[in-house]
Amino acid sequence: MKNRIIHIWLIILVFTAVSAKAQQFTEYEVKAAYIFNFTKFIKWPASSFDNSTSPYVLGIYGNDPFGSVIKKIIGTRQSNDRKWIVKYYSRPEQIKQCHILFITDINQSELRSLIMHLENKPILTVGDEIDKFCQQGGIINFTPKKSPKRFEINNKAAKNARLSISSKLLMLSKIITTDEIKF
Amino acid sequence: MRIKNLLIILFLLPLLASSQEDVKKDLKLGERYYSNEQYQDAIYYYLKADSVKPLNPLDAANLAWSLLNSPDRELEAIPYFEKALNTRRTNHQLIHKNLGTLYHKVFQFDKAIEHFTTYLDNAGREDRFIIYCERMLETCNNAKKIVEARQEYEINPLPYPLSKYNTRNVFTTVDGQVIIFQTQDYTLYKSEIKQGRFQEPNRLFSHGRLEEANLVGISYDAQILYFNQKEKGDFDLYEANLVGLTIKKTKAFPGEINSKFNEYDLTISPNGATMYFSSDRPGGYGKTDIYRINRISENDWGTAENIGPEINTPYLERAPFLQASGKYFYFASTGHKNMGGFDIFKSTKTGISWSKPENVAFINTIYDDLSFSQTGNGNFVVFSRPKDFEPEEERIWSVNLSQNIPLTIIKGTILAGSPLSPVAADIKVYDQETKERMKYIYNPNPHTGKYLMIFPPGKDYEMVVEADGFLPQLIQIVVPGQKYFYELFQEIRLYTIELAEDKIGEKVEVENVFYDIYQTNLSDSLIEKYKPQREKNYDHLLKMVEDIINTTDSIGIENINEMREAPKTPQNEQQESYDHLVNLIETAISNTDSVSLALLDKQTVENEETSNIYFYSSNQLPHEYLDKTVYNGDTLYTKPRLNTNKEKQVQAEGSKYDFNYRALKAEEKRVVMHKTIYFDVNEVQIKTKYLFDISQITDLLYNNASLGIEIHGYADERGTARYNEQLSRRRANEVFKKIQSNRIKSNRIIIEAHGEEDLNKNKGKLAKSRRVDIVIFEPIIQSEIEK
Repeated sequence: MKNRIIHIWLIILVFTAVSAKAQQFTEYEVKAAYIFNFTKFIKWPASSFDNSTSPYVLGIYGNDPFGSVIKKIIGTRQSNDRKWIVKYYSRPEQIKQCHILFITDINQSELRSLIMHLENKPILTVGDEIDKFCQQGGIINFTPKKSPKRFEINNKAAKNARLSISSKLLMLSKIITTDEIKF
Repeated sequence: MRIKNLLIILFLLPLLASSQEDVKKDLKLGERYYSNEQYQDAIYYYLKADSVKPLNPLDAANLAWSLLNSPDRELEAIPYFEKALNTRRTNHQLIHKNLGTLYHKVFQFDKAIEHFTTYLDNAGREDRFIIYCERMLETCNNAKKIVEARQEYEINPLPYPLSKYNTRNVFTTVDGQVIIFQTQDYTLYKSEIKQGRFQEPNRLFSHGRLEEANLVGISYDAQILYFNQKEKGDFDLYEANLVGLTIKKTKAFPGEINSKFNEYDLTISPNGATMYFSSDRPGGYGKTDIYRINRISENDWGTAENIGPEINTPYLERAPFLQASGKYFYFASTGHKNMGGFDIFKSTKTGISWSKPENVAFINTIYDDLSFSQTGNGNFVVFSRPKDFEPEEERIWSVNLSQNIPLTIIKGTILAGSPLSPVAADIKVYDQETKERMKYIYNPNPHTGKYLMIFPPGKDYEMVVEADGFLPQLIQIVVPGQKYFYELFQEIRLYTIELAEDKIGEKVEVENVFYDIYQTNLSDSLIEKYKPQREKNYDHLLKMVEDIINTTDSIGIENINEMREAPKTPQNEQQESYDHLVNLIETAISNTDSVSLALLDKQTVENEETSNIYFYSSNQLPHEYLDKTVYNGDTLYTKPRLNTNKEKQVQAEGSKYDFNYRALKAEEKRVVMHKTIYFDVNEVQIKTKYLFDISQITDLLYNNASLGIEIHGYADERGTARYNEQLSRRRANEVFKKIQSNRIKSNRIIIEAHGEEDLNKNKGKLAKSRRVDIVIFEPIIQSEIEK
């Protein structure tokens, strides 16, 4: 009996020890995890959801850099009791019900017309290291690697979209306003 | 009752008396066998007698000598030699010498020292064992210190399935992902790390030639194996290629490497330029010494020279191993500060000389230690050695040294074609500064396309890749000037660009993934900090344990074992690590902890991809349009250098071609291809058979921002010149309309109407004059012309 208990405790010890292992993530795994966490620090107007459990819709505009990663990181999780749905768009007109729009690989004129199309809609636009994204009216832009801050935020654009961004998130980012555009 | 006891004693008396008789008989037999040198039998009778009545010192001495002379039983002689010292009628000096030797073997170094000291105190001047005993005295003193130092490291045999092999030798690749070992019966095996542990080894096959060859080393990437084998009475060195699990192309080393004396083992420096080998050829400092020889070309070696008395002693030196950084030299010696048999020693490079060798305490035993192999970062060491007191059974042991030798390992794969598959290629590497060619070793394995290179920190290199069916490509390699170990995974992909079944160009893609082990370790601890608690899991486990205890259910324990295994499936593990990642980011944002986020950023895999498209010139020979680079002795014609270090790339792609192509002069264009389209009389409609070609040309232009197109319209000689001028323009415009789409900028399109000016060339050949010539070209950018 006593031996048995010792035996079992040994197993428990081994069980808990199987964890330390080198971990490294790819760029888009980390970005997906950021996007997931944005929902915890940003509030959407209640009108943008059908009810209190209707899901977040993540739109991916243009080329999809995530592959299967996005399903694994956000597809299986819930935030604020809401599930997630991923949609893929290639033209502005396709975007209807969407909460976060991830934009990658886009040229300046395309970006301008996309932002115009989304104006005043409660959609969080997230740029993937896009040059002058926030200056053009985008809300959050991931900055290139080795930048001092991981992302930049245009809070005025967020307010126009009726999104409220937590001060914590703002503290971690570079703040950019649309007024900075100089002609 | 008492009567009963008495009866029993009476009954046993004759037996006792008879056993007394037997002892005498056994002793006599023992003595007879001993003097006949039939030691096995002598041992049998002496031990039999000893079990009844302890032997007297003289008989004990005979038994001790018998044991000393039988294989594997010498250690049993110790108590009998001790007893033999109780009489003056035995040779005390010889007994002290043997007791010293035996106590050394059982790690009782103090007792061994006692006996050797006594021997030396009583030895006469001419005594022939003085040198031996003095050396052994030194060895025992060394051994005492070494055994103490050994405690600092935790060395362990590699676990099952490797623990079942009785090995002779083991070698690791420079990345520690593969080991190759040989068992006592000369069979070779290979085992790879998967999911963090060595897998069931696979047997290697060779054809003839290597029946009883000893594996003495492997190249850093395990594509070449080194052996020694007895040939014509002496040991020589061989190399062989390992392709998959087959050993091929065994050949003896040429030149001064093999002599009519014995050559035992070897190591080759990571750049392939220098070999160190051991040999007992005459002219050394001791019987067997280590020699150095430089490589002149692939199969040509220079002159062998002794590496000198810092390493070589009057004793034996063997088994050289040069660590991948080239800074640490390991070898086996029976000299230096030795603890018995061969020991492994380490010497560090200081300038051009080697430091005084130190005993590698953690590895050495009192037996022969000849096996040592270490990874590039210095962390992982494998060796084959017996357990203490069990010299017959060797196992593979490993130790983690937590070192961080600054080195960069590049692990690459070269693939070509569609679908991508491994390709035979030739890789040359040059030092960018000195233009010196790095010798040997870099060629990728034709079956897997894999190659491995090792570089010291802070130098840049140029790699020339020549793959079958592709032009040579120059790729820049930037090795960071780091102070710790660094890994770079590289994939080179080659594609051909075809248009209407013609090869018109090729595309090369280079993907570099840096794996910064140092930074990863830093942020690893960070992730550990944010790990979600496993309380729920514990609750379940504890409940289960309780149930098991209550029911004493042995199947339950297996269930726990299964539970323990359960989280190890890759998907679960991945989900779990994603949990950590998501939690880490949430916690860091909640605490506005920018340091953690910055660390996470650093830890993210850097994945850089560069690609380059190159079009062949249709009117020049390759060496006329390829870049020429002269390195020491070699002239190379290659495609322009592919710069893989993005920070150094000044001009953004695309904007480079934002100019009017009409302004280009003829010598500033490289013609990639021609295409001619013919028209019916007075017709501007393009024939259907050309439409596919034109759509392919449109795609080509769309996919390659650098290419320009000339459209030349012609008409035949009939009709007025003015009308023909218009007709040729309308034909060219028709082609232009097909090619022009909103996807191709007009600055790249040049239209010319030639009317009937082509008259002289095609006089009378009317059908050949009614046409549009399409020329696809690539502008030669100014910087290229300057070169």
